[in-house]
Amino acid sequence: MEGLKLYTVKKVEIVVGGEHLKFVKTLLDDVRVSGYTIIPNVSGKGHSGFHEGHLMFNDVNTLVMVITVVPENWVETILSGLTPLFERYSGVVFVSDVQVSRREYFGEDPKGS
Amino acid sequence: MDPLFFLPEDPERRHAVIDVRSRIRLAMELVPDAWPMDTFIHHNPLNGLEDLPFEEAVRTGESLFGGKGYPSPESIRGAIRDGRISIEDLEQTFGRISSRPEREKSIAFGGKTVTLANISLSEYLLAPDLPPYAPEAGDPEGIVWLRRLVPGIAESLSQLGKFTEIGNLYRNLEDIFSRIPDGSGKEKEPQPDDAPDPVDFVEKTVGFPGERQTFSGWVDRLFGTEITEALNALLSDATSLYLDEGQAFWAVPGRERGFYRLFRDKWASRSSSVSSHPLIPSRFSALPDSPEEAILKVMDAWQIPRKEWVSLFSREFSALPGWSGAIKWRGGEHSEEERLPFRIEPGEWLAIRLSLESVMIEEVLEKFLGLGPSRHTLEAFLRNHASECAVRYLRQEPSLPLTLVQDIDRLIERSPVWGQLDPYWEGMWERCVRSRQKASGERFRIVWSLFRLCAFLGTSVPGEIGTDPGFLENVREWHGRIPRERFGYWGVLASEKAYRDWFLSEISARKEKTFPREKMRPGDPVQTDPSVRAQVLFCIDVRSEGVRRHLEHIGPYETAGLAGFFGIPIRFKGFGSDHVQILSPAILSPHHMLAEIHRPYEVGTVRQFFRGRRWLLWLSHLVHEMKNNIVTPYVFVEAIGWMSGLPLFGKTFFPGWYHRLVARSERMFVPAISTTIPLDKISEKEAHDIVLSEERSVIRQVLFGKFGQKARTLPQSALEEFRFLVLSGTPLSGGSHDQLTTLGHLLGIGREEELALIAELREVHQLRPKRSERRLEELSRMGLTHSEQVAFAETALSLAGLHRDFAPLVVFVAHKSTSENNPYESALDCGACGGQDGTPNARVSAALLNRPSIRRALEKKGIRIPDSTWFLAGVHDTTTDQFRFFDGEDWPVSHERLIREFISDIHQAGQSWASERLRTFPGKYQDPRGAPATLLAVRSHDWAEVRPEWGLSGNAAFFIGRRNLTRGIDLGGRVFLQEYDDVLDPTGKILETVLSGPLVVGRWINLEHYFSTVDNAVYGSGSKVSHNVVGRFGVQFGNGGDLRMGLPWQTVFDVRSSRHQPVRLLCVISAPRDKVDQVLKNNLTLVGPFDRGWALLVVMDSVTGIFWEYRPEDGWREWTRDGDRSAREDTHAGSNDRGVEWKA
Repeated sequence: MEGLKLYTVKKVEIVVGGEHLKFVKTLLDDVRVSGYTIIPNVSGKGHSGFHEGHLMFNDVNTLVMVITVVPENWVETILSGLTPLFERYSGVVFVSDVQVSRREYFGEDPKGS
Repeated sequence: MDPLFFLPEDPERRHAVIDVRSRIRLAMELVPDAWPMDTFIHHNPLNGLEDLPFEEAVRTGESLFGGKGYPSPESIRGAIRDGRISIEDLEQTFGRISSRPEREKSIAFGGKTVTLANISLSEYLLAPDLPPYAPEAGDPEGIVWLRRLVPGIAESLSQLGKFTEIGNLYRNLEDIFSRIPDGSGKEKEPQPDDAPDPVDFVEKTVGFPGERQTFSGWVDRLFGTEITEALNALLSDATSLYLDEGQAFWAVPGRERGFYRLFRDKWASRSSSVSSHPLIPSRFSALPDSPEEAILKVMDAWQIPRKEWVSLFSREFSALPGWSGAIKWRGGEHSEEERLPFRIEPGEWLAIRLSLESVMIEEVLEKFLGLGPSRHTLEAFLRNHASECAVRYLRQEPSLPLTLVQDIDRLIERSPVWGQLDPYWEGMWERCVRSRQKASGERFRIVWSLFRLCAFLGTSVPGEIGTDPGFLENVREWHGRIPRERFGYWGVLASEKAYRDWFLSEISARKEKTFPREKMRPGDPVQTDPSVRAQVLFCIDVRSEGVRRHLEHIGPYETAGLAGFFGIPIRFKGFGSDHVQILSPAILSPHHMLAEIHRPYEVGTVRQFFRGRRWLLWLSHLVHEMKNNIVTPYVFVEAIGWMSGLPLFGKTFFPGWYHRLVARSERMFVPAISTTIPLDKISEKEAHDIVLSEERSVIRQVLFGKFGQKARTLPQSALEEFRFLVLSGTPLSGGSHDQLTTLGHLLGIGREEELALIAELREVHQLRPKRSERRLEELSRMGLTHSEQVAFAETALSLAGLHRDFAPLVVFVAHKSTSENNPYESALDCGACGGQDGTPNARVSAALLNRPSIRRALEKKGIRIPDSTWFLAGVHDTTTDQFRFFDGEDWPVSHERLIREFISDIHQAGQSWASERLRTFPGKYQDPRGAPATLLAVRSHDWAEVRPEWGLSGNAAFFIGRRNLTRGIDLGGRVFLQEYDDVLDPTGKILETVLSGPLVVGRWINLEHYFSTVDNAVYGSGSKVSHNVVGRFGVQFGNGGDLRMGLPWQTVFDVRSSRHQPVRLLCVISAPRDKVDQVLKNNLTLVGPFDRGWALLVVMDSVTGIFWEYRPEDGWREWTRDGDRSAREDTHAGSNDRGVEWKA
């Protein structure tokens, strides 16, 4: 793998109740992220209890995970949009470093905006 | 990409814009979605608050929407008088609302013993309470003032069914009054320097605009203006104009600009309707392009702290919950894009409202205070002039004594501008305080308490009063502990207890016969029970219970209930329709699509069908146009106006006959077509062929319309060449004179005409590559794969609890309703099918289970369906109690007689149920002449009938268990019945499915009825008589105002009383208690609603036969027939902290 340069960007992972998926999607659209991945029917346990992943006749009461990759200076914008949500409802968000080779693809402006 | 939303470049602005958009979205969460009325979904009007415990949500709802959350004491009194609740029910539930329920003291009182419960009861049930303000002078003792309240007490007593001579009451009052001396005990005289601080009052009670109230609400209260009303009227008009879906003949132009820009520009012009406020046009022309910037500007000017924005915004939305709900629904996942081409964002709506609001309040503040709208300056000013603020606020208090009110008014007249006459205002404040302190003086309170207690118990004044100081001490202590703020909830608890005791007793009586149960194992050899003729599967809907009861009585039939979509959620296209229906519960978004097509042998009739339909459509469109054109009505009315006399008189006086006449006439043009619903997937080639032929047929139609006969003779090759060109999507240009295509040449049209034709086909008729792709995708989604078919078939049988012992006939009975001139028609249809007719689901279920390939696959799973069993599909019209059965072409000869007998039996059952039902309608139906069938059919076609059927009114419980346990009980059409056999469900998955699916629907239905009953004006939609359909998707009350949500008055009220009893849904599960525990523990969302008190849970342990009631505060308690004194308490590690903290 010669000549392959990797750039560090940020990965943001958000786990929320299914009923708030629309909120998260709209927020990410607002921020104009390059894209996101949705993992539905996630199960898990949190402060309030256990969530089963797959309910046959209910799309709304399960957990869902949204993953997106953005340049570093966008993270704060995303988090400021999520803060009001987590003030009231349960959910988690993780930010970690991740590397990609196509920096422009994920929203990084080569001029560094 | 959202064309209405601009993201600023500057990072600070960007953060601010995104942050405010987030907060707006959160604020919208509190507003319930408002589904359009053609797919009416019953939902809880407080569903944005369901993460809060019930009582807290009700309080928040009151604060946000102004709605009461509990039945009024008057309705409880009525219920006691009618015997639906007893005083014992109230006494026994008192423990749940009092703060220290352990051993309560009881004292002697005139020969009886009373406890805190009794005195609380007397206060709850006998109105009125002591007013908070007492008269100032002229009645130094106060006895006259008290005497004025006595008739109210007498009225309450008579409503309770206890009659007493009013003279006695007066005498008792005087007697008690004389025995309780002035200044007795620890009472002290109010001292001037005891006066509550007006600044305190201003801060705590009056408050400031922000999270607890909107600016307009605050201004209205303090200055007596009507800004909120004006805002509501303006926004209602604007929203209804913008969202119109074709109801209006002339729609407002310019909607493509977006709501914000359209109305900003409209109202920036001086000639607009809001010119009564001269400042609006100039302010609006200065508004920014982005609605978010407009909102930020206003928040900045008002200086509201950011953390209060979500509350403030949600209050703005809650001022018009109907319209906000409609906007919210349009932004949701489930809205179909085809519904309305014009989008609207909540931020736009809020921006317009806040901008209007800011202009209006600034005008008022300038006039009265000479200040701007900044909260800091307002707070400072009002703290300086706290007395004036407090008194002006109190001016609205209804019980303020007249002398005081008159003086306040005079002072108001003398000081139009605030802050001038402080000393006078301080004097007024002191007078208010004194009046209040006088009323809350202990003597009055004790006297009134004792008087009410005597009146309630019906005793004469007991000797203990006035002689025993310890007695007064007790009363005084109790008086402070009466849980007044929970009285409303108490009424609900008592009603629920009364029903629960009745229901569980009835089941208990029957369970003796079915315990101990025979242990059945799945996979046991199949033996069809020869005596059972048919198993009939209904929807869990409460209306099925009546028919099931009668059917079980008539013949050897077994019935079962499962959600009306039968476990098969689908998107469905009816025959000849473009519209896709979503036939599944609202919480689900189905992926599969099925369509209804004509049967092969109907090919000839089909052409006539479409031709006839086009003709009828053209005719009705013509009539509609003529009515709405400017000139034609004059001519229209003169020439053929008399013809509309036919429908007018027909529909009004002979509704049944008129309906049959119309139906027959329609049949002459549009014949009935036999249809079927193909189940398998379409191959790719087939899909291509279908799309091709659709495109060709559109082109042919257009050509025929333009060129007539010439178009008919065009060869196929020319058509294909033309179609290819149109759909290539390549841009074409003029230039040469030659035609582009053979077709053009054959038709003899010029190049220009040809290009115009192609353009028309592309723009108007949407013949584009994208559309073809979409259509192909749609077709590829149609149908079900084999494994999907097997899965659905298995689910349907599992939900019905039917894995073995199949009868020769198994019937799926869907349901629907029929009514005329009823915007709420969809509310009466099947809720599990998204507020539609559930017939397609029944047909699909039956068809699937009749397929040999499916039966073979099911056999491998242990479900053996004998060859002698046939599945049938039908529908129950709940308005007329008629039944219809489908796909008769497929019925096997061997079952013909059985099916005919069954059809006859179920019709008979329907009629028996109908006779029962008829007597519940007010008026002439009490003594019905004529067959129930005819009477009900007439009702269903009567366009003046405001109550075609009671629908789900009266629903009280949801039973999950085997039918055996409820068979034979007359449940009065009040119970949802879901079949469930825990033996067939070793993992608990089916129970989980039921609790997360059908139970949720049942709970929503129950809560909607509950709130529409306790406060029909706020949570319901008022009387149907004054409803106007607006925009084709909702109703308004009168000629304007908010979109009305909830159920109309006629649905939940009878002329005499409320038809629906406001109780929360009692969910009864027959299963081992541990299994239920396990399922609940595994999923937060299942136990949450029970923990927070949105529904009640009782488990009848199918192994031990013991009933366990789930109490959020203390876990499982055994229920016995003797009431709440439970012998056994099993404290389960009950989850108590599930609610989330939030302040409204």
